[in-house]
Amino acid sequence: MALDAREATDIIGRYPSPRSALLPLLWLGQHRDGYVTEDTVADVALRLGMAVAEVESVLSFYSMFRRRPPARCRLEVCRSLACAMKGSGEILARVQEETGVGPGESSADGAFSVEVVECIAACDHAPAYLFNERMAGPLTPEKALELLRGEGEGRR
Amino acid sequence: MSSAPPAAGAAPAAPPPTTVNCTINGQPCTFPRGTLIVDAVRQVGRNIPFYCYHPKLAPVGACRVCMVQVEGAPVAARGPIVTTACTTPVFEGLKIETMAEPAKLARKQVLEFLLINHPLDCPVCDKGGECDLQDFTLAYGPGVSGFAETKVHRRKADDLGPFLVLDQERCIMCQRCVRYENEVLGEFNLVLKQRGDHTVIDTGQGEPYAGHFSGNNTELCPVGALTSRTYRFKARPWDVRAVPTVCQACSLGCNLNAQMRGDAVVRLMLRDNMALDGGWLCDRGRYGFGHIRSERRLTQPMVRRDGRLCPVSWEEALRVAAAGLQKGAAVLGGARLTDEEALALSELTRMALGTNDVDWRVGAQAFAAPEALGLQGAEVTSIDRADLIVLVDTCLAEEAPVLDIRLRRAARKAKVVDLGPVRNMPVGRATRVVAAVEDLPRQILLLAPELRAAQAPLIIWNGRGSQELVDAVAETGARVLVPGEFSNARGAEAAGLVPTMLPGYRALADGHELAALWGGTPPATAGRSAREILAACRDRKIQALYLVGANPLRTFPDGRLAREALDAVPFLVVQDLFTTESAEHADVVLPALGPLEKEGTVTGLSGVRQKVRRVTAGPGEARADRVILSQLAEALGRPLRGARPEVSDRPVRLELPMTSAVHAAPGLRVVVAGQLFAGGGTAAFDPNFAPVRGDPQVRVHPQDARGLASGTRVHLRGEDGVVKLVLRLDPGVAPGHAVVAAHDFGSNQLGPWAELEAAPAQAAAGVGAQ
Amino acid sequence: MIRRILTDGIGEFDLTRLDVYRARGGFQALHKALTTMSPQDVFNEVKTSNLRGRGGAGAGAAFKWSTLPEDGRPRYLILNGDESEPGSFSGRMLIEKNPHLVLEGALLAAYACKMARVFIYLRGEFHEGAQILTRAVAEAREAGLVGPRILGSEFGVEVVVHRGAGAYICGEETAIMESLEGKRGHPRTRPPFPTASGLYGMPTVINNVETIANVVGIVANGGAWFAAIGPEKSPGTKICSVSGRVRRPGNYEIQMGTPLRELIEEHAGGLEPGHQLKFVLPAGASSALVLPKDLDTPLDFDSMMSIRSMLGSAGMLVCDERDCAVHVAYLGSRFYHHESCGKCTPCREGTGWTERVLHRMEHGAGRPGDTERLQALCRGIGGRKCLCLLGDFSVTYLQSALSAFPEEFVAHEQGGPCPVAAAVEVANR
Ligand SMILES: Cc1cc2nc3c(=O)[nH]c(=O)nc-3n(C[C@H](O)[C@H](O)[C@H](O)COP(=O)(O)O)c2cc1C
Ligand code: SF4
Ligand code: FES
Repeated sequence: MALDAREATDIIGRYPSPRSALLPLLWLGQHRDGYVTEDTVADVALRLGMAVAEVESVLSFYSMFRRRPPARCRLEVCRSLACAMKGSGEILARVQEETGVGPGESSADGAFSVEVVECIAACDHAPAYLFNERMAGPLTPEKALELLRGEGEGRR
Repeated sequence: MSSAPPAAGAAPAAPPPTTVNCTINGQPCTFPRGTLIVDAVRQVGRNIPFYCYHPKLAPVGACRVCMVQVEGAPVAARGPIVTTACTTPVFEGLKIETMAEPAKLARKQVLEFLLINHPLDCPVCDKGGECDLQDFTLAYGPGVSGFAETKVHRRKADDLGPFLVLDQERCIMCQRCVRYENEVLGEFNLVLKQRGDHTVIDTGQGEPYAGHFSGNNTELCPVGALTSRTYRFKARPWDVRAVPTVCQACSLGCNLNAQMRGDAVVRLMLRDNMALDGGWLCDRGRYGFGHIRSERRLTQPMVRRDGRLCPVSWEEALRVAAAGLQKGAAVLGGARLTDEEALALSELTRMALGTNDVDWRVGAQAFAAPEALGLQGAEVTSIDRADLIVLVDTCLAEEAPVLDIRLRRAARKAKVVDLGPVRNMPVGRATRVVAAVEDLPRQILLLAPELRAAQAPLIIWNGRGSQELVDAVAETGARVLVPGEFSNARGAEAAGLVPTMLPGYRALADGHELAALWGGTPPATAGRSAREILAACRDRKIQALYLVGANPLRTFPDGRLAREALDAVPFLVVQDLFTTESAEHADVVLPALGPLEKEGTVTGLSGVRQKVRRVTAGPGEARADRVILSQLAEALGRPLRGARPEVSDRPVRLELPMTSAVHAAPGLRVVVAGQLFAGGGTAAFDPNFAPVRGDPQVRVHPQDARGLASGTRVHLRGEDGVVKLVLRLDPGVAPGHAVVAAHDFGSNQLGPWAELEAAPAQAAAGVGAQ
Repeated sequence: MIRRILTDGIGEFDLTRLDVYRARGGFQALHKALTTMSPQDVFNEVKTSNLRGRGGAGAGAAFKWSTLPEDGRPRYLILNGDESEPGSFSGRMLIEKNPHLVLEGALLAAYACKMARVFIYLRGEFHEGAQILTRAVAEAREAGLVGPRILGSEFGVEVVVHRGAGAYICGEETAIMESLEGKRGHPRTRPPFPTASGLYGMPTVINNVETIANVVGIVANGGAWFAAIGPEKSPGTKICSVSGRVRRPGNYEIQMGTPLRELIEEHAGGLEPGHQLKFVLPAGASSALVLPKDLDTPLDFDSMMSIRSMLGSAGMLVCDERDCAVHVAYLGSRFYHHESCGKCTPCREGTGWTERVLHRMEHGAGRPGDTERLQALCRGIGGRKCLCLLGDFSVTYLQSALSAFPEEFVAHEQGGPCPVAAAVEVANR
């Protein structure tokens, strides 16, 4: 599905050069579909006068763009210094033990996924995490399991 | 900002000197301002290693191996530092030390890093022996690696389309390939994906490499990451020798080195001629040597007996040919011969066959040298200087591909107008003017004021067309470049392989000027053009036809006339490399040697003559055209003198052959367009190109598709015949047109108008099942 | 002592609301500049203030602005809100809690440098921050504070909030421009420097969000007022992000020159009960560690340099006796390996190699010679051999840890369990 033409044109219009709208348009697609679809790539390439290959090249550089449909509940746990010191590794291990889902994996039914991320600038809430894009912390094993079961929200 | 510190050049000082003085390893030297240290160092004969830097590409400073020590303002005002030679220009007073210990150490460290994830498979790597990583590691690298971890594993020996093989593990991320794609081609057939040490070279979505210039990557790649499939495991650099020659796949004549192992061509490589090829080759030129060993090569002379072509001796074949031709023959072809051979053919026709019935124009191209029509010719480098370029019904990317690279660069500053029924440059690179073939003269006249107003206007035109078009072009005053459909059309034209002109653009009436050279005066009455010759054959007014490197069944625009002519002519001699469609009709077949198999000169599209070399012997009993021609002349009782006449001091204008008027009819107007791997020369018979040739296609504008989708099998039904093709919807085609590949068999068998129909269901099912 | 300039009111008022921000004196500085000051006047105040960049290197803001060529080409301002250095999170607070201050500072800087467009580049993970800031910009636009003819003056400026998408390197000043141009975030070669040829090849200034936020106070109160706060050569305040083993992790705005000890012991509440400070990483993962003996060092650019560390963006990670120097090194190396853009060989290959060695050591598979190997790796990657500083960043802490705690590395070389962890276990028993 192509991006909303009005929204896309509006975004492109903010920049002196259309190509600058690349990341914002990919975000637009990812927000709508949950991930960057091939349609979005093709549509963005067309709108910005870029080759599909160029879009793929840029897209793959940035770690936040997903290329597959995401799970319903997405837990992204920070593994950088402050959070690791405060036990994010142990929480991940515990989650894997209880659910069988390790970092970088999704549950078989696609209900939830567990990711690790580098420092998300929330070290004061270590171990910090993003739950469905919402930044929060500190995470405990119990909290993690509750979130993955779909009970409750990420809260600061 | 007024409070800014006074900049060095703030006062109205004298312009900075254009050269700077510096020292390299203590030796004083002077370079033009802006020279990069890496180039300066190389110019004084010192070596430093580099990977990402390449003189044909903009510097990026990625590999970090070209470290040198520098001292002096402004880069190292506070004492010596180590820096990259490829990104630092020389400065006045700079002291450069290439062998300072810190620089040596830094290079060693970088090399060690490059090796950690690199496989140690030099013995089976195609690059072994010519690999920069191997060489620099020996010269500058660490003795042993301290790396004891597991290497990162990636895709190996990946076929990226028909020519290119990618080994991601061997890649050292110099980015030369992706920069070449982007900077030189303006394409993105290869890009970087992922990041950090997961970065890989890949095509955008894992599809095959799609461009026409993939092979250059294999020479840019400093290691064995991008290699040629045709060269895989074929040879080692130390077993091969290079023979310099010129590509004859199109009229540009890019320079190349044929690398030989024994008598076998193992690969063709760049031999930079910057004024001509800009230091690049296209894939047709680079990989088009498979025809040497094609199964369809003619290896023995043959004569038709009881309806079948039977191998005979050369003496027998020449005797039969001479006997048949003596009854009154016409000659077609010659535009794929060398200059010398074309002259020999001209002499044989005039002096031994006694006719002016000769024409090289067995395709749609009507002339080769703009000067022959009173137009002003151009050089290849005129493209670089032009400010306005009009493409007249020409697709350089298909017809003289390497010239298209030059055009792409020019298009960044010059205005380019793409005129004709088919889009020939990608959207955005040129101003598109849609025009039917018949409408071209009018369109040119509309552009004439702009062309006349331009500083350096240039017209690039495929040489098809009428006197009306020539007059329109003359009106513009622009220089003209003609990338034609035959590699040595200019040589053939200059040799007088046309019915109205003798060698050296000499009038038929001036034939006496040749008397001394040729030992007689050639006939003075105008001969027949290719169309007239074929019509006369059809009408049985000509007893014999001699085709020399010509296959009108494939290339002549009126395929029906060609078919009827070859069916009707009582005696047909075909001299060629392959069992062409025309050769199948022959009474005598004379096997000839091909482009890499003979010596001589060829004349490129801008008139530059270049030497071609015999690099390999050629198959079976095939002989060079020159040899065949002189033996045939002898058999005809009139040996050749073989002299080269001067260009006439009173050159005549070339007469364009008549084109039959096209009357409107229902359906789509059939037009032919060049297509790189379809060409009727050696490419059509080259097994290296089998994977890229694909099924013959017809391109139409989506609005003419009658609901059929791209990729469906269709029939194109014309007045003269039906051809099965694969449909491509292409918004770059003018509505109302059906574009088929020039020289693709069948493309000329339709007539000027054709209707598009879905192929019968059975054929369609066949496609689905594939 | 003046302490809270940038964070004043945060926590008490909802400063994300334009009316609240204005009621507390917000946009007075902009009004003052547009009605009573020329761009040159604003520039002069910033120059007088001696404001130094808060993004890491401490470059003089006015000096950077002064290198813009006067050639009539369009100029751009980029606010660096990529904030990806592990341990730094002060920018996030400013963006989420005081967005109008950031915006007002940007408008003033654009006015001083005669720029018509400002890009605020936020790291992709700031989903919420981007929303808040976008809303703030929209609100300001409604009120005639952004767009053409601001506050009825001749001056107009467009503000674009731009989100990254997960790449630490895009905080580097040339990578940020590449990213803004819709490209892979590969740093560019210098020269040309951004002020000469930056975004779209035009003169461009890149400043940290906090640097720019300071411009508001400088214009409101005068450069001399700012210059008088704290040490002469590093005036003003700094928001320090304190994390790790302290009782109250968080952002604390302190006057420059405040001793590190005061920050940790008073503001952040000291170490967690029963634990002792082992070392501090004062500028996130990329700084040389500070040992307890240097705890009285004043927090300013020059003093921190004098103990061979740096103030940087003041992301203070506090470690206690439970934190093995090797473990911290491993975490850092994993980060840099993940974030290397991959352009330069030493950084691309070296960070991965370093991580693999430390991973082994961390997991009981150390081998004799590993310490020496790490030292060689530091030499091979560091020393400004790369295009940007990420390579150097990746080895700075490691180098300092190798010389401060050699015995911990040597112990890990033996392949056994971590001695620090073992000691903790004993203590806990
Ligand atoms: C790898 C790398 C990452 C950086 N990340 C940031 C960052 O996240 N935020 C920031 O303000 N500066 C960052 N910087 C510093 C910027 O390059 C630049 O110096 C700074 O934004 C300038 O702002 P200032 O002069 O206001 O300090 C980074 C530098 C490097 C080399
Ligand atoms: S030092 Fe690292 S991050 Fe910086 S440009 Fe080089 S490879 Fe990229
Ligand atoms: S050749 Fe200079 S950095 Fe690669």
